[in-house]
Amino acid sequence: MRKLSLTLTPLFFCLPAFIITFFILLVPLLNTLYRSFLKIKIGSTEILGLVGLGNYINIINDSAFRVSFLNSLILGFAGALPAVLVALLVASVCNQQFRGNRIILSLIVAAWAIPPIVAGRVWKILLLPNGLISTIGSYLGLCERSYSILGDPNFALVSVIIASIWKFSPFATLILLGGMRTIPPELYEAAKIDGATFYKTFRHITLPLIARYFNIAILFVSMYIAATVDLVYALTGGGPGYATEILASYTYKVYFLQQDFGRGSATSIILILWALISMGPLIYFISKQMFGRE
Amino acid sequence: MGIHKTFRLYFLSRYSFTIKASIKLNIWVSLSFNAGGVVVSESKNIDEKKNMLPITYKKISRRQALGTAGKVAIGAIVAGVVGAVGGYLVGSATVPPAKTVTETKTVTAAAATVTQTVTVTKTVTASPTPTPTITPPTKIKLVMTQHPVDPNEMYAKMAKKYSTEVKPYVEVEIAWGPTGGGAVAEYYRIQVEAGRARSPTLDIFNLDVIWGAAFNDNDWCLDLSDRFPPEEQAKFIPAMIESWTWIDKKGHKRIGAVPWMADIGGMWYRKDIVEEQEGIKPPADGWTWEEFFSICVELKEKYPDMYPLAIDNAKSEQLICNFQEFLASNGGEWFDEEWNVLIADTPAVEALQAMYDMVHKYKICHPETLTGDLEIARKHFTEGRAIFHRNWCYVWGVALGSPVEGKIWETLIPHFPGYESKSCVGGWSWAINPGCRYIDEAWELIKWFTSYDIMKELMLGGSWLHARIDLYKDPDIVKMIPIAPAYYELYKRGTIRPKHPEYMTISDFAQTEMHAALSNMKSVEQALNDLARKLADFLGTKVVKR
Repeated sequence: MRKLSLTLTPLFFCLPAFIITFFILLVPLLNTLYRSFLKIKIGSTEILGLVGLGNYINIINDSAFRVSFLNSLILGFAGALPAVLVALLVASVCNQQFRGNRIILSLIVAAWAIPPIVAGRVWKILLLPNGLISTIGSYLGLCERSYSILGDPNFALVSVIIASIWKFSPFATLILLGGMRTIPPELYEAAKIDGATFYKTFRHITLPLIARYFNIAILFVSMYIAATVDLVYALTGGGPGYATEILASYTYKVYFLQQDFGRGSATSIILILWALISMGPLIYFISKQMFGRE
Repeated sequence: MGIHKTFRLYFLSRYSFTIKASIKLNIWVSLSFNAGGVVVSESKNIDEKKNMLPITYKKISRRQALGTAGKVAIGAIVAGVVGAVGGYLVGSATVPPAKTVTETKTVTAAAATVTQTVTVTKTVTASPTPTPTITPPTKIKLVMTQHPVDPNEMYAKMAKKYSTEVKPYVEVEIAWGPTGGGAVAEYYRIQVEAGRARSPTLDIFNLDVIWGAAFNDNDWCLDLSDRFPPEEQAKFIPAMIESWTWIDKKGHKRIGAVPWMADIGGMWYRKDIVEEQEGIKPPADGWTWEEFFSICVELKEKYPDMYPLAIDNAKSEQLICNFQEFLASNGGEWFDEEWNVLIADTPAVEALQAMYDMVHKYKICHPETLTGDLEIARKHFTEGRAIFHRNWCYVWGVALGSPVEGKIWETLIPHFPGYESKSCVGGWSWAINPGCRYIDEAWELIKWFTSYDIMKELMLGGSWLHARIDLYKDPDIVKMIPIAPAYYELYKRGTIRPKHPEYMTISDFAQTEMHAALSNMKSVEQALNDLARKLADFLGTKVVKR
């Protein structure tokens, strides 16, 4: 009885959080799942009938969806990991004691404060023909001044990757820097006394002790990159053609531009499943790391 | 005992139960978010009780826990019932009850001039669109939606004028449209839902020409054919009237809105360069595309620092407008009468191929043509870096005070041989919500705003270009807007984008495929074949070629 009481009591105290989470998260999710099996009148919420898996089949048959799925996978790997590596580099620099390191950190974090749609627009201006990037490229002999990566279907996704790294690495920097600051300075002093180089100190002390923060940073950056509709739309509009569509922007397009809420709901469910499959193992690994062993 | 102490004792004694329950509920909720996780993770280790928070360490009896939960549940149910009843009462107050109306009408007999007075009694049941009789000085309010931008605040001023001078018992409230990214889509959704639900919150809609089919087909706006006869329609821009004319499911021809704001595409050009320096005069019926491309190639050689043509071909609705002009000027169409898809047919292929050649073969477009936006193209022109520019009417106003002021003019969009020049029509129209409570008054307001004199006053006050075609020959208007006669020529040759209730989806499919062709992702034929197949699958029709 005592054991039952000790088990039920904490659950009882969590009940308000469960109720609120249920209404904020689960109810809309279940509603979306329900609507994904319906044919809904374009531009309206009027339900025309049940189509079962028809919406899902329609979406999978759309070549733009298949391209957006592939782009999301590429962006997840090629965007999140480099962003966190850049963050690691920046955090390592900012963790050193030198004059102006806080100013540098403030400037880097300012990129995080800029809204994604503004960031996308800024990068678009930089990447347009005769823009700064193509001008530098022409001086280096890499391309013509009138070249624009935004209009090249083979490389347009690279512009999205670069803009995403620039936009989201500051957040990862803050996480990693926070982790670095928890490392006891005595370890570094001991390593210094033992004659360890910077590289060895970084490899054997810093990296192992911030490993969990590294995983958290990858998780968060992946989530943000996966959901970045506004950055993609401001930068390329999903073009040229559909070369830079990602799952989130494709979902937005079906929902708000095509105004098809049935197919949009089906796309949302696919996006959620993709997120669960791609990030679920990472979340499990992190939670095991944080709560399993200390 | 002081008053405050008396009050405090009274308050505490009377509401002690509520106060205690609220305090417990607050603690419960905040703990569930902050400490619940700790408790769950820590409760496994009984030996570490001393690390728990005191309140969780103290055991609560089952009776106490159930008692508190019960009180909270009862409170929630009571709040829900109160909210539901209150909501019902408020909602039902907006719907007038059924009533019997006696009206007297005078009937003139056909055979003689004897006037008889007939009393007709009819029962008016509560309908989604009741029209109560207005007897001044009863004041009513009409809500009309409008663009978020009001040049020179002309519409705000005219709305006030209507309310103070024309019909003092009618208060006109303008609901300014949303701004920001996705604003147009949001604008559409707000008005669709108001029309669909017959909500009396918005009386007069402000609708884009491309929404005409959707609103008409779904009966989200009132049919105005009995109030807006063909002879009146003829005074407006023909293509805009066409976009709002629809055959409904019963085969009845209806018109859903009255055009007010006009916009049309045209080919702007540097008059000082093309006519004065090069001696090239645009023909009265416009160049053919081949002629136009040749001129551009020639001017490219002579003016290497300038772009021959600034035209926005980025993936957007503008791309569809451009394509519509190429297609219509080649005698092409998107669909036939039964919505079979014609977009893979020869005229469409030739049209898109011409657009492709413009960019890649002749290389006469500005560099950002596929990646920039309309404003980038416009800036090239108004800052003196482009010779020709395809854009809407607003360029004239923007060019005032720019380096090209007084040096530009507008001519017809080129066409294919054997066909006429066509310009894509844009613009906005007023429609009445079927849920409007004062339909007659709403119509009077629209009629006033779209009357010749008021439209002229709005234009002379610096507002938008308006949709009565004769305005562009009015001497006062021509004096203020010297390019007005050029607009008149364009309005006569207007063409509209596909008039389909699901145009938004059609446009999105088309933008993707056409931009893919222009970006060399696929050939023109492949892109249009893919588009045709997508449209046919979506609409449940088939691809045909004439």
